Amino acid sequence: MIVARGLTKRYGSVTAVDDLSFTVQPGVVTGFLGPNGAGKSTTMRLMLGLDHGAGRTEFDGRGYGELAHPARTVGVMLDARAVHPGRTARAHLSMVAAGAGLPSGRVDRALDRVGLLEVANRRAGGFSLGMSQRLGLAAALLGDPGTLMLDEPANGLDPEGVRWLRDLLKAFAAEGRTVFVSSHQLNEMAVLADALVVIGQGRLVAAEATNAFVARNSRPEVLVRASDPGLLAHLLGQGGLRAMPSPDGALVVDTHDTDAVATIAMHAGIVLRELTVRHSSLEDAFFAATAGAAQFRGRA
Amino acid sequence: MLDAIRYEVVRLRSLRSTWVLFATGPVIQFLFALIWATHHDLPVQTRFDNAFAGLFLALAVLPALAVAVAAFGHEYRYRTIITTTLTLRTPSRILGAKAVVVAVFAAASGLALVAATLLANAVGGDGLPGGAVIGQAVVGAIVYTVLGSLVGLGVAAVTRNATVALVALIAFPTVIETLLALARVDPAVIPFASATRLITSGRWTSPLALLVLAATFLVASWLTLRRRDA
Repeated sequence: MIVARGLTKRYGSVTAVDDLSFTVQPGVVTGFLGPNGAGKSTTMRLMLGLDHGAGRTEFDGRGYGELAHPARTVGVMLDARAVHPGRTARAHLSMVAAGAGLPSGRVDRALDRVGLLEVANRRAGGFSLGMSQRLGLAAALLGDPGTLMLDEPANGLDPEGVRWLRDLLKAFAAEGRTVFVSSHQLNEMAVLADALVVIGQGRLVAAEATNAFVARNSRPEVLVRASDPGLLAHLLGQGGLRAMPSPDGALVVDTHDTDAVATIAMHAGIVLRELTVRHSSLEDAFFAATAGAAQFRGRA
Repeated sequence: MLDAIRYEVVRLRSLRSTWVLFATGPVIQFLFALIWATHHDLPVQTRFDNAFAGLFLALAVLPALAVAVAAFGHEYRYRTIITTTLTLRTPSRILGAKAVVVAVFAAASGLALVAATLLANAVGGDGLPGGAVIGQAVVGAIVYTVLGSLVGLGVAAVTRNATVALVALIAFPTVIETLLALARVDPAVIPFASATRLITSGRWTSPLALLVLAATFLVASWLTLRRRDA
C-alpha cells in the first residue's frame, strides 16, 4: 500500500503540487491522471524523494529512503529514455542489480519477461521508445517488488505491447501487489485501472474507484430520434427537460429517465425510432472533472 | 556502500568510452616521452622527468579526467541520475562510490602513464632512470591523476554539465595557472602545477593545493547533491 500525505512542491512562487494526499490500495491497478502540467511526474518524484518538498509517502509503512531493500519493495519507472545510449540493455540492468544487491541471474529473467532477451547485448541508444519502455519496465521488475510505480509506461508501445503491459499489470495487482501508474491514454486507463487518483493544477480532484469517478462526473443523457424532433424538443422543454439537437437530427436530452421522454412523445403522437441512455466514458468524466484545471488546451 | 561501489564499477566498465579514454592517455604520454627520449644530449633522468613537465602531463591526464567528469556529467546528460539516486539513495553513497571508483581508475591511469614513459625511454632512449626515480614518478603520477580526477568529479557534480566541467579542467591548468604564474603567485598554491612537482622533486607538500581543491569540490558536490532535486 502507498500512503501519500501532504505532498507539496513549490518552484519559487509557483505551487506545482499542493498538499496532495491519497492512498493507493494493493490488489488493484490505480491510475494516476491529470492534464499536462498537472504535476503527475513531480508528485511521483516527490513520493520517491527525488525532489525536495513537503509531505511524506510511505510504502508499506516506510518512506522510500527508509526501505531496507528499495528495489525489492518498490519498482520504479519514471523516464524510460533515462539510459546511457552506449550501454547495453544487459549492462544497464546488471548495474542496477549490482547497486540493489540483487543476484545477477535476475537480469536475464527480467529481460526475458519484457521480451528483450534477444537484444540484451544491443546498446540502448539504438532502441525505439517502445523498447526503452520495456527496458525501463525490466529495471522496475528486477527486484520482484511488491509495489510498482510507473510514469506513462504505455508510451511508444505498439498495440500488442499495450495489451501485454495491461495483462502484466493486472496479473501483478491480482497477486495482491500495489500498482500505481500514470497515463495520458484515457481509453487504455479505462480498461486498465480499477481505481483512480486524478489531479489538476497540483491539487487532488478525485481519489476513488474508476466506476465511481465516471458516474460522479457523468451527465445523464438520453439520445432520441423522433419523427418530429422540433415538436418533441418543445414539449420536453415544457416538461422541464432540456433537449439539444445534435447534427445528425437526433435530440440529446439531459436526463436518464427514458420513460419520461417516451411518455411525452406518446401523448403528442410522435413516433420514436431510437431512445437510448448514453453512458459517459472515462474521457468524458475526466474532461468534466478537470475542466477548470487544464493548464494547456488548444483549439480544434 | 559495497553495493554502491559495485554499481559504479559496472557503470564505468560497461562503457566503451571508458576503455578508449584509458588507452588514450598513455598513448599521448608515450608520444611526449618519445620526443624527450630521443634527446640523447640530456641525462636519462632529465629526459624522463621532462616527459612529465606541466602542459605535457596536463594533456596526457586529460582522458582520465574526462572519465571522472563523465561519472557525473553523463548522469545529468542522460538523466540516469534518477536510476542512480533511486538505487543508491543517499548523497554520501552516491558521491562516495563515485569517488572511490574514479580514484582507483585514476590511479591505474597514472600508473599507465609512467609505464608508457618507461616504454618510450626503452624504445627511443639509451637507458632507464633508477628505481628511486621511477618510484617517485609512480607516486607523483598517481597522486596527480587521482586528485585531478576528484576535482573533475566535483566540478561535474556542481555544474551538472560535462562540457563545462571538461573545459574548466582544460582551462585551469593551462590558461588560469599560467596567468597565476605570470602574476608571480606563490607556486605552492597553484594546484596542478605544484602537484606536478611531486613526480620529479619528491616534495611531499607539493600536491597540498590540489588536495585542498579536490576536497573543496567534493564537499561542494555533496552539498549540491543534498540540496538540489535529482
